[in-house]
Amino acid sequence: MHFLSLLPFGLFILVPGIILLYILKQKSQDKDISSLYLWRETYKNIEASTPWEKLKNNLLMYIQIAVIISIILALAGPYIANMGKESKNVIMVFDNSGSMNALYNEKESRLDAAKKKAVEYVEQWGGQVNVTLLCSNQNTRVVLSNNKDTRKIKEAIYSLDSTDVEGDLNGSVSMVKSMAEQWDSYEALFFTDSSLNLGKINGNLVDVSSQKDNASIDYISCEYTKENEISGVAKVTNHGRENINGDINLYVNDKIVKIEKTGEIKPGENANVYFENIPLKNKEESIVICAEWNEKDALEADNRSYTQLGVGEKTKVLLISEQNIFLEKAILTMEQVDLYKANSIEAANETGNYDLYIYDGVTPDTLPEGNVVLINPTETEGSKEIFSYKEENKEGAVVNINPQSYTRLIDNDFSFGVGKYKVLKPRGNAEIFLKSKKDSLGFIVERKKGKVGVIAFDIHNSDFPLQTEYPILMNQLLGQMIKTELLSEKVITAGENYEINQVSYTKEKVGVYSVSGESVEGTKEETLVVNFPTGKESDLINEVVQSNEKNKKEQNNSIGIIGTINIKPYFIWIAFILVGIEWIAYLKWK
Amino acid sequence: MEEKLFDGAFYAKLSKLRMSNRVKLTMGLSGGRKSTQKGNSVEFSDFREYMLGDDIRKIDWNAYGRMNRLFVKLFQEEKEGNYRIYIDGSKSMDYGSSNKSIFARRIAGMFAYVALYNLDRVYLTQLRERNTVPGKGKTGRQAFSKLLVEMENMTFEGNTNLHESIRKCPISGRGVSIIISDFFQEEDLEPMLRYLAYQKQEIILVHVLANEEVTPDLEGHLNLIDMETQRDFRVSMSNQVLKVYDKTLKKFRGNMEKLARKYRAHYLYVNTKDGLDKIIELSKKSQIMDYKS
Repeated sequence: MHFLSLLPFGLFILVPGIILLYILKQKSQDKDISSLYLWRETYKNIEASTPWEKLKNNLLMYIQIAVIISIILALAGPYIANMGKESKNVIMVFDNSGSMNALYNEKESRLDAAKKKAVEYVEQWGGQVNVTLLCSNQNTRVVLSNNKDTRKIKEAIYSLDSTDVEGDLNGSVSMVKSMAEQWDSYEALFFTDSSLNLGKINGNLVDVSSQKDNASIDYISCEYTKENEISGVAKVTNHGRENINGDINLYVNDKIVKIEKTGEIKPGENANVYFENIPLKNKEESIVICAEWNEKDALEADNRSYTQLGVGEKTKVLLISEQNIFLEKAILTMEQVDLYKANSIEAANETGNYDLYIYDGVTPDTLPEGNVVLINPTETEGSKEIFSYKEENKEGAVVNINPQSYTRLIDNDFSFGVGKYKVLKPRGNAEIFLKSKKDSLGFIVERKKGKVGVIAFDIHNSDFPLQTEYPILMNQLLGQMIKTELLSEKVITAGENYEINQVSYTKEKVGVYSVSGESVEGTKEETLVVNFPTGKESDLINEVVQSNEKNKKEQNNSIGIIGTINIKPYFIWIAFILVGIEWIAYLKWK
Repeated sequence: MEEKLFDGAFYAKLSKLRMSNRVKLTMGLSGGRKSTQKGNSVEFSDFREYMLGDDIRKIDWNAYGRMNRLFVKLFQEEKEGNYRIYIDGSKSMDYGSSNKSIFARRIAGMFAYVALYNLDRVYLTQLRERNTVPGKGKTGRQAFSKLLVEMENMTFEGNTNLHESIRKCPISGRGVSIIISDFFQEEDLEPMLRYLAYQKQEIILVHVLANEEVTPDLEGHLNLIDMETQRDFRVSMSNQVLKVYDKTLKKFRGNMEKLARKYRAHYLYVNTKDGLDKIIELSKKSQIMDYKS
């Protein structure tokens, strides 16, 4: 027999208490009688007729002790392991969304409480249950698969990290459903503080919610009002059950610059706190601004909200092409780029300056200052300073990569076919990145007023755009030609993606991060700020409701143990029966 | 207020009683009771033929006239009866809301009254643990008041062995021995009965129990203390225990009855709450007493 909880065994202290009460109660009263003669005879007869008579005097005490023991055993949640025909598969799903960082009690967070409860279950199963651990916030991740080793399961549970990500356990429900198809029977335990519709899966919520008061800074928005002066607004929401009134601290690059009162905020309402004309000592390229709720509450992560000012302007690119959808798509993969298009060189000359000029199939007589890309160029005066024209239309070739820093994301074995190409000879020191035997089909030439990149074939006349490497190579090449920001986003919410060089990353904890990466200009470092998803995760007084299509019971806290027989009801019945017996015995022997 | 030992109602009851003729006496001084011996009295008993030496004054001349043979009249000799009344003087007799000691003395008074008014001799003795003093024989109606004073002065103490105490009292000749007791004693009662039977005593055992002993109203855990020995005994009362007690009591009475039958003794069992009427009724039933006609 196993028990869900050993705490009720502490109540065994009551048993000696009952015995003590009986001993005290049995302090018999003196009674004078004429003679003991008949009483002695009586007791001889009693002992002779009923050997259990001696016991009978204390039978009520024994029954009461038995009742207490039955109740204690029932409270301890007894069950017999390995008795059911059901298989022993349990999927434990941990909600590690932002709200799980809130305090469960004075000492531990909801996630810590969930881990504790889960470890209790695992210890009770005693290595008899196959446990699969999932960790879920907006995505679901398998932490441990089908493992019986109690030590490993416990380690995996303890290793679960908290995040500040917005939670959505519906994904985990789907995953549990598909995982469960491999088993005849299973049970899923969702350790969460949120309501959840379990659908048809055999699962239960383990509620780790706690009704706690909380306030959050939903956002901070700032702008320069003068060269060395900023103004902004922060929104504070009261998610608690009582009015709040506190201070908002404003930090610029970690230095406190202003403290503002929020005024009285009623439960469920919010307030905007304005920071106006905050002077800055120096205008920096980029500053991090933080608004902080100065009071202690149940969830700390949402007490700060960050933003950045001074993020660079977008890069302007001019594409001169009759029609090249492949090229347009490739350019649009670049972040922070505004694409302008022109059909002819003449039309292009009428506009202003651009950070990058891309000539597709045409070549101007005079190359503009700055960065230029020539695709399938023609021989003009302007092109002579970049390359010399050797042959007009050379028949097909297989083009290979000539490794450069900006081709590092492409496999060195990559190749594609070209129907016709122009044989060009670069002037000066050129970086050749595409070649076919001895011919250079792609290269970059440095000049005084910028770089010129050349692709010596018509993209349409090759299978290059059909390759998966095409957008990557073009992005890297164009990135090499222009200045770009390393980060696609500089202010994100925890769990949202940001990109560096077309590769997505995410941050799961709020805060200010320094992110470095390889850009076309070499290794670069930028600041990323991550905010808490206050919209869904800051409300801590929601009631947890379990919906289940099998039985429409709500808030079912009783956890069935897989492959076991729950014998708690038997002990409750035994206790009732014993109380009945005691009552009858009491009336009979009174 | 202490209960009065003998009151008007007591005397009223006694005035109509007399001892039954069943008890036959052969020894003793001349008295008011008919002896089995033939002797000089006015009470005719029988006829027999005249023999030499017979008092010719007793010849029935009328019979001679009718039958022409000499017959002499035989008359029953009137003898004095000896009544020995023993009251158990142990502490256990001083028990009960309707006290056994009072009731026992009333019974003794009743027997003494009836005996004295029949011109019999009464020996009243209180059986004590030590120094049992045999009662002196008293006769005549005026002796009754002396016996009452004696009984009123009785105290009930200690633990009495009935047999031992009775043996200290000399018994001469036939008589009636009335033992009034609760008979709660560890020692066997048979030697006492055997002794009294040997002494040619008509034995009357009056078994007196208080109502609290017949139907004890006890519950819970009790430390019962014996009033005689001061020894204690822990008992947890229950319906079952009381039932067994009742059975034990019945068995005890049954044994007493059996023992009495064995020695041709009368056994009168009475609960103090039933009063003297009960003992009178039982006495009549046992033909120990009857009403004067």
